[in-house]
Amino acid sequence: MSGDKAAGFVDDDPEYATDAAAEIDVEAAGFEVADPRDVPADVGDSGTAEPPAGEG
Amino acid sequence: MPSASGLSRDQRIRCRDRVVQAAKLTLANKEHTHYTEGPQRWDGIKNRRNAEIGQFPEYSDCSSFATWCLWNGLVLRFGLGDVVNGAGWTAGYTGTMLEHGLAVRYPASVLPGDCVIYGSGPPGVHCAVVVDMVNGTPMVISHGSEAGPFYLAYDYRPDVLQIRRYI
Repeated sequence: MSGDKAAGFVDDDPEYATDAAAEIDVEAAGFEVADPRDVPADVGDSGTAEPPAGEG
Repeated sequence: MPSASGLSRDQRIRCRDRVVQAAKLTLANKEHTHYTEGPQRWDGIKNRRNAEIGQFPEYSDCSSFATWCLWNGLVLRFGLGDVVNGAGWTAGYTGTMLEHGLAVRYPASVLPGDCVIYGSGPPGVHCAVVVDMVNGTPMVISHGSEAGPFYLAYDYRPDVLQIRRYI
């Protein structure tokens, strides 16, 4: 993976990197893990930034 | 290091809950949500679909889906500006997502609510939302085609470009 050295990495701050992970209760249990071989190819992103409609 | 969102530690915990709730709700209703790269892809935010009351986008693509998930936590819960794309929550794609937030270097540091961006280099070609960890592996919900979204290991495709945090 590449990274943005100018902005630093989350990992540079151990407290923010783990960020109370033990207190996060968001398990996605119950969902079947898809086999990538059965997943259609991602179409891809739109590849362009449409003009913003203004701050909302 | 200031957080990417400016939220406090406790706020970030609640925000991550909302982001993951949004992604999971859409996955659970995959037969009712559609993939598009057209203007309807911002349906979730434009029509203020709130996952907390069971609402999800009828149309989205990978980046508008990820942005909508984050919007549920960052805006509906905390009223923040667009720290994901810098476009007032009305536009964006993987290129703008790469220009915002903070990079996560190691998979071990990845948390629910972070986003994985794929591609051989900027501006990226796909993204997905991290929803949990299984045996140390970040798991994502990815909406990359009409058949989606899908629940997958973050490295289900080999071109992981960056993992970024916006919370």
